[in-house]
Amino acid sequence: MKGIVFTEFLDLVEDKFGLEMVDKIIEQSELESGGAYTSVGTYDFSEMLQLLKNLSSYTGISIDDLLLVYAEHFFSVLEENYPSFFKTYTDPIEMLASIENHIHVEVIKIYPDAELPTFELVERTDNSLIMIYKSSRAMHHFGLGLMNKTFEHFNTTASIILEKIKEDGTEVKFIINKN
Amino acid sequence: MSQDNIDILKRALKREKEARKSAEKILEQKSTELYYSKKKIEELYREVESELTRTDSQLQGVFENIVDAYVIIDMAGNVLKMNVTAADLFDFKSVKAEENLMSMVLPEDIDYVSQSFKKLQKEGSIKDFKINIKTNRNYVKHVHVNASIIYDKGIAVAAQGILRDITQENKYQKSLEAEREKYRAITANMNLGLLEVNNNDEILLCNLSFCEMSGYAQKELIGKRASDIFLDSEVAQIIKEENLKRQKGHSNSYELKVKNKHGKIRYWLVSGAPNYNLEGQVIGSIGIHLDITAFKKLQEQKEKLLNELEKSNDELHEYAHVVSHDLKSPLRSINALVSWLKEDNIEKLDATSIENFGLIETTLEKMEQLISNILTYSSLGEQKHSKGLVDLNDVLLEVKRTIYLPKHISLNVNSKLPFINGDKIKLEQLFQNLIGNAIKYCDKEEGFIEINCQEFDDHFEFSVKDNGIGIEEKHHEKIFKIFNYLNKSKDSSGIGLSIVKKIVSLHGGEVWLKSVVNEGTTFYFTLKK
Repeated sequence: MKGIVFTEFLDLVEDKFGLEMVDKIIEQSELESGGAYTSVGTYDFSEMLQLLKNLSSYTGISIDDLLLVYAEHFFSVLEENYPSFFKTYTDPIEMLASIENHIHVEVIKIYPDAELPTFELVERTDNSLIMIYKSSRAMHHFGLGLMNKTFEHFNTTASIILEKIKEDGTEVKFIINKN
Repeated sequence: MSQDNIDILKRALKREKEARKSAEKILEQKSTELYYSKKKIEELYREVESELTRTDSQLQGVFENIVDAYVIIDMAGNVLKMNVTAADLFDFKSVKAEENLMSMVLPEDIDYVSQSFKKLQKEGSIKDFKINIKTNRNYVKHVHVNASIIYDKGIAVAAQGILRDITQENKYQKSLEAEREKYRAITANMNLGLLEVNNNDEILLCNLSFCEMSGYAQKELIGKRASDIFLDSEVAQIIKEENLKRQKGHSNSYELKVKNKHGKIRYWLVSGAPNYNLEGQVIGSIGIHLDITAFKKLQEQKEKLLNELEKSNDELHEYAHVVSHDLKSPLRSINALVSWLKEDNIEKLDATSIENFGLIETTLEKMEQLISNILTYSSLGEQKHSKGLVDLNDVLLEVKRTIYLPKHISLNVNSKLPFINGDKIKLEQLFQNLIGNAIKYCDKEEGFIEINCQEFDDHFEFSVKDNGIGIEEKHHEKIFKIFNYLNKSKDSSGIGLSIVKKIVSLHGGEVWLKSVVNEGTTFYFTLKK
């Protein structure tokens, strides 16, 4: 997993819960990297899972909710770092529909070793979108957070319903309706 | 600050340091990778560059040395580049000429060209496109074109084409086709049988007439040996020899006895010529066949008839001789007996009886002459005397010496007479008869006979003119026929002019006459030189 996900995550934890919490979740986890992350490095996903679990147990907030918040934060990181990328799109539905075929392709170009989820497009109209998320990471709420922010970016909102196709969350249907 | 906080900060600091170090390490590594990548790219670039230069000079060489015309045009037809051959083809002054090829298209071909150009744009290339163009000097040329589109970043920007002038080729092709068609029509329609065989005498081709002649269908003949089908072994040997001659390149004609499909014997006149391949080697022969069976039969019949005719002529001569001799001897006996009877009883006979005896004698004499003349006539056709060069002046002297010329008739030869290739005795008979006739039928107090001669290219024309009784025109034809005499005089046998006609014919000439009754007659005849 890209280092930026870790550094931004820890920055957010420090922001919301203080450096002590950062220290605590790192100390509680058994991390190969020792918690010393750099955005240019690549780290094992299990480190993120441990950090999330520990944060969840310390704060009492569910992992899904943590991911949601984190995703909303991460979106701003993307906005800041890749502004030209957003200019390609004029519509949130269009942008989300192209995750699989365009956005992830561009990501792979920049980060050849990135491990990305798949978004299978089931149905698309001008104002709605049905996609199936598949990933062994089960980080669907991270996706949800990014989607919410996407609509916000284009000054609109949407109701997004998640239906778990698999109980462990590795396969989830996103039903998106633009408001 | 509590110890806990200090510891937290320390740990955070340591993590930051480690993170920095690992980031530096990663960056160092990436930078090294980048350095090598750059080196590699530079190397590749140089390679590509030299490859490009090489390819470019190769292409330039191809462009300049290619035998065919090579031209690049933009999408509107303007020439961007061309080689010398192309400039020559279009009659441009140089390869730098700024021209548009579309202006060379003939008006009637504009649709065809624009369609083809669309096809070229759509498919990227076009092959075996043939078109007439009008060159810069207004010559119409027929060209063959292979062309393709040149793309720049996927956009068609130009077209390149290789052109070849096929005007001559086209002309040759057309005249070749016309010749072939002519040849085909001749072979198919001619009334002569045509047969082509290879060096093994195996039939390669035969026309309809040959099939009709031979009675075989084409498929029964093709691939078979001609000699096996048509000839028996003896004739086959002839054919073999003729074929050998032909393999040496001789043409020839010969007659063949063949058997057709129905087993009938036919005679063919074959005119054969060797057949050559492109390298000039004899690969077989072509024979023209004419069925001469009917002609051959006629010839055979003619020969048979001639033989028969000759035989019956001989028999006739023999018969005439025999008859003449056999008739003459009883005639002489009668003559002798009559004269003895007359002499023995001359005292007892009265005048009338003596006169009758005289009449019997005259009649017997006339009969004797008649028989002699028949004998002469019938022996004319015989080649008893050999032909030779005859001086007609000698002939005339001889005639004058033997003939009785009465005092009141003059005979003049007005020209010097020529030498004639002929039979001297017969020529004497000829003049003797004509002069004799002129004397016989002279009724004037002063008679004359004139002989003239005129020379022509291939013959002499003679005339024998008299001032005798003349002959009516209605008799002109029949006087030449045997036993036709107009005056029943005692010394006319009616055979003289028949003899004249026959002798003239034997010497390749003709005889005719002009005559005015009571004024005289001129006989003309010709003799070949």
